[in-house]
Amino acid sequence: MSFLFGLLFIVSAMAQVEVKGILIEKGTRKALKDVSIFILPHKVKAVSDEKGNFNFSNVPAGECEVIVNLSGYKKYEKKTKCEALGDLKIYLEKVFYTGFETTVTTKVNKRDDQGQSLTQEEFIKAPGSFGGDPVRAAQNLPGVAANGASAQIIVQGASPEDTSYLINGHRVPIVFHFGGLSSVIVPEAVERVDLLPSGYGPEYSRAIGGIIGLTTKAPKTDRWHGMAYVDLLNTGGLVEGPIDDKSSFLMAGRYSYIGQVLKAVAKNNEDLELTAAPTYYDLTSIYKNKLNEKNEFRTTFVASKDELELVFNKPVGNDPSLRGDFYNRTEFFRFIPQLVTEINSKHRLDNSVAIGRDNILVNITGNYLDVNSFVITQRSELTSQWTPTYKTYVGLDNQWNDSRVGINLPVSTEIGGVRGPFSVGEEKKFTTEANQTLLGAYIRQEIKTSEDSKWTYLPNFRADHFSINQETHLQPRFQLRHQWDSSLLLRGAWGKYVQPPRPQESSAKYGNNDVRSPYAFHTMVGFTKDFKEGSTQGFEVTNNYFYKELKDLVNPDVQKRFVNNGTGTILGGEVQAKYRKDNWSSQVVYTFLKSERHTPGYGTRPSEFDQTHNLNIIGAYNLERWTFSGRLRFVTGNPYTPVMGATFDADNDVYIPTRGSIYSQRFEAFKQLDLRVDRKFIYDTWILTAYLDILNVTNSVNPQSIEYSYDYTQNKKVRGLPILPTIGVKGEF
Amino acid sequence: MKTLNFILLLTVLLSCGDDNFRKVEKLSGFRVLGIKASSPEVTDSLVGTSVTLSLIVSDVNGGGRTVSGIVETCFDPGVGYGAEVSCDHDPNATTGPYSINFSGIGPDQPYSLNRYTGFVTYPVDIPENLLTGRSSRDQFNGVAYLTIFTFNVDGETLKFFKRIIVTNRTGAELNSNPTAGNIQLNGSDILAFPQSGQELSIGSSVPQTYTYRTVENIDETRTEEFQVAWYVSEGELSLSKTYIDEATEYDGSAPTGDSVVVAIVRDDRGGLDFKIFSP
Repeated sequence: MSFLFGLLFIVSAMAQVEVKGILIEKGTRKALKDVSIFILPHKVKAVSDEKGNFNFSNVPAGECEVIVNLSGYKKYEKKTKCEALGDLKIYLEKVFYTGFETTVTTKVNKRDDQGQSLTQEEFIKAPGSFGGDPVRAAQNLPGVAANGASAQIIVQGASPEDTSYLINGHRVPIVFHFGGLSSVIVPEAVERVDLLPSGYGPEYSRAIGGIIGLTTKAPKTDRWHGMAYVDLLNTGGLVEGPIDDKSSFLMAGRYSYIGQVLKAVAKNNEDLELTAAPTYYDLTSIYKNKLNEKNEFRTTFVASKDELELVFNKPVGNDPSLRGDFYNRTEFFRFIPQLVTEINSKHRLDNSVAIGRDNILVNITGNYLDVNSFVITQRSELTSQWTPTYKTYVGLDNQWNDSRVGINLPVSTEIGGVRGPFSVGEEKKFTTEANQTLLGAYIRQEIKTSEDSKWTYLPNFRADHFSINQETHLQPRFQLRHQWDSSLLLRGAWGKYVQPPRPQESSAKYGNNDVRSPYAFHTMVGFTKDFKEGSTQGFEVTNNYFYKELKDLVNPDVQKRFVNNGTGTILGGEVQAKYRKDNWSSQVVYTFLKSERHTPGYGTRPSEFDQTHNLNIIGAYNLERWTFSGRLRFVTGNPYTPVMGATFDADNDVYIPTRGSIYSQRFEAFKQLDLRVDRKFIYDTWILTAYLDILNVTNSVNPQSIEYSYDYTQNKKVRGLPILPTIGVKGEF
Repeated sequence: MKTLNFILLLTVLLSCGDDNFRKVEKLSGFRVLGIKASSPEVTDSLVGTSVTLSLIVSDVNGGGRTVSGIVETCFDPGVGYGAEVSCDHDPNATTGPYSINFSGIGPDQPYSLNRYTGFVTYPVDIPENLLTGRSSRDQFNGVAYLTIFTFNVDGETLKFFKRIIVTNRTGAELNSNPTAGNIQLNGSDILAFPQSGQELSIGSSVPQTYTYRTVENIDETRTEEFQVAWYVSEGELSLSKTYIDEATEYDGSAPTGDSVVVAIVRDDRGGLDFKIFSP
């Protein structure tokens, strides 16, 4: 009998079993390929395949230990009983899940050295970006500044009106929701945000200031992913994944309940009553289909809506004629199908169309502006690599608007940022339907004299036609690139940029239909020096100098409403120094500029957006599951026009301000410190992130505007954003 | 339109007033509260058209002083389009001295006893052919002829103006002043200065309907919207401006001396009437 037991023991000990399993990253469920998995004490090894699967075919049954030791991950050691297993799941935990980025920039499309872009990985964790908002994070880039707490963006001292906002290359009316708190697309659905401030290529136009573009991402194809978050201001979510082998889908949305918070705050306010809490929401969906080897189809849908309604129970401030209902709604959607065709190894064709509608409604006590536009924009681009030294991009960039505009508004009497009372302006009430066509064609050329030449010449050209004033503009643009060595890139650009007059300026009923298109000449030179020498650690410095000459700027005029009598110059330099060492990364961004405007009768004066010094210091430190980050901002105060007195309008019972020298005074410098702490909790199949984001930690006053008494004899400066802490949690799988 | 939208939004949201600012309804130093024209609208090319302006003035803490300044008349430089209120542009502008003696009492100058609130008059001659060269819309809706008063008081320059609308409309088509009823205190004719919690209101004649020509040259029938501006020498009001028959609540202690309540009814196109009560 004892012999029998001994034999069974030996047979059992010698039994071979098959162990199958999958190796995935803990939390993200990302398959880890080409990783060695060991089973001790048998010293057998398997290697994971592309999907993370591994297979041990002959493992002695019994007690064993599974070991995985991969650089960047915590060592996995687990004692188990080796038996025939088909579903052994190994979740390998990363050492760091908190790779905090501080605006590490990459080249836009690898083609335009004048621009910078932030990838999702960079902006999603950027301090001061209010939860990873791409456009707010872009405000950390050189030459970019926020316009107070507004939704406007100042690019190199240009008016925000002179900057164009794009989604996937197609123009949209806004990129920020109400108050500039967040962009109109959920950050996780954005692949990158691009900034083209000056000297940019011929692909874009109709913006003499600059371009800010959001590009949506391609839905993931490896498996279905999800994300949901909630914080004090809004909640949102995203799902994405493969539909089949060729297609994938993403849907994301967000809803803000900031209005409910404001409504609660305003509940006992005698002056105003929030009848409908301010709210915003947006929706994004993306569908991608690899039709065949040569064609890829993608369609993106973006919709956004902001709404606010309130009742002023009392006449307001220095315009007592304003009392009653106030309603504001801004909404738009775009449906953007896109087809990319790889014609052959040398030619690629990219076609896209955006179809959508814009609606802006402002109603102030019976005075209203109601804009309804049906919009179609179309882009086509043929990319051709003719020879190793000659490449072209030939494209069309067209836009067609069919707008119905209803206006019952007094003429704006604003000069120098000081607006007369609402009731004084000459009333304009009309409804108009207008078609506007903007046609654009361009060619971009990249020429090298030889394959190994360090010089790249980019003689570019663009033509635009605006039906609004029947003007055609030829715009030569030239860029130059010199790759001094592998770490030093020199660049320069010069070009002409034109934009059509705004609809209110060129409207025969509201403005002056003889208004011409303002234009600008951009000149820039700069370099980027990478001291990291292939490493991920060390310094990188970018330095640019820019000069913009603005012509035919449109100004208000008493006789003709609007005339092209303005000129301007913007001169400046910017430097961005990035440093990364181990768990620490930091960035210093500084812009110096002088932005001036000249108007007959008012002389030469600073622009409203002349911010002499703009300094951002950003730092972040990672500690396994923790990330600590901060941003310090210092910006010269914006100029403003003082009010020297006022004249009583006995008919309208209001005082009309008397302006002093236009933009002759400045607000105090803007100073703000933002801090953020992220803590990640890693579970096998999902990750929970909790965060605390505090804007304006020191509660700096940062005055943004001036409020006046009814007769303008008293005033006080209106403070900017107070300290604003936000806590939130985000779960993702 | 993006800017316009944004500006309108900010304007409204940021103009809710500061509690430390002087209240618009509180009378203290020299102020002109309104100017009533005997004819707020006149027909162009009527030779010798003269309009009498009644300046509703107040200087409750002035002690009966005399304030002096100048008065100018000219055609509108485009105030509604942002032009500065001035007569510098008009070669035919008139200029002359003007003074207000707050100690005077008389049938044409019914100042409130010791509270120095009442009205004074000034005649304005409207020149002919002001509409020559104007668009048909301007001729129909009218163009403004300005009377600008400028005073130096306590080292400060105070400026105020009144428009008289000159049009090619005639007779009953011309705007006339509204007629204000008596000031009501808690629904009855006022007999005493209000006490805290009591409500002031006022009635008026029926608003007129009139024709307005839009920029599209469409003739639109409209009805005047009356608003009432309230002023008190003591305390504060819940609303400095009300609609007709809407009440405003007084908040303040009982006056220690003479006091005054003023109500000015405007018809939103230059017509005006007023009531002054002083117990």
